[in-house]
Amino acid sequence: MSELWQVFIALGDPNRLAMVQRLAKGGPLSMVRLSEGMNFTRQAGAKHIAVLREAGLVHLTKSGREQIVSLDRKNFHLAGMFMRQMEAEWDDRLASLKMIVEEDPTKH
Amino acid sequence: METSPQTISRQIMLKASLEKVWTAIATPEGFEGWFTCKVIGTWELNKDVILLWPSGNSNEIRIVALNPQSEFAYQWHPGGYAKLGDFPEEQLTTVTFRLHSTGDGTNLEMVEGDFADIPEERRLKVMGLNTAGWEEELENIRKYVEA
Repeated sequence: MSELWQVFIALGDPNRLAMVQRLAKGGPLSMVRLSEGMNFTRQAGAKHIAVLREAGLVHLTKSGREQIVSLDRKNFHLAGMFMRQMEAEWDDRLASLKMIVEEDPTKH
Repeated sequence: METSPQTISRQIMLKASLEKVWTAIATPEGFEGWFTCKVIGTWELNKDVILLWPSGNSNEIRIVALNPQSEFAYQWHPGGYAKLGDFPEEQLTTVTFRLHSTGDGTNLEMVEGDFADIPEERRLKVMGLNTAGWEEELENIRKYVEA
């Protein structure tokens, strides 16, 4: 399962955002088609796809000699991202609370 | 305990007395310490209180349960900075703390819910995805992934 920060980093780049948009509109595409007309080299395109894959936003399948990129429906769930952020905030607050109430006043 | 996916619940064991935990959670002085905000207003049942953050932003909360050493609850619009009237009432979440004394400490149960009525665009804003154009792009993605 990817971390929220990975999702933000992955989507925080205009090239990758454009790739995600293209996949959202055009469905699964080969790596070559996905990078077509974009303002970067094939190598850079492969790197961008790797970042999206790390973040769990896309997955790759092989079709003959081509790599097909598709959006990962399971991980691309905005409601889930929101809940994870809210949970992280509570975990931070409760950790502070624990530190404060368990502090031994006899020690300094 | 509630287990809806649109609810957050946590349970932690604190090595501190019930009195100490209650003071930390349900009094303004205690609350300020771990919530890292200043409390402005009257801390009483059914009262609205302002939480002022060091950044100068604030949230407004309504205290809805204050049963000494047992239960404390408030309502707010979670994420971001909002007054109680900024969004529809049904989008408020309730944060409930329940305390149980154990032999050597206090068991604290915290539940916040229900997040189900918060609209997608506000969730995106809370996540910092409010740059112009993003909402539309993400809406396209949402339509695709939910098709």
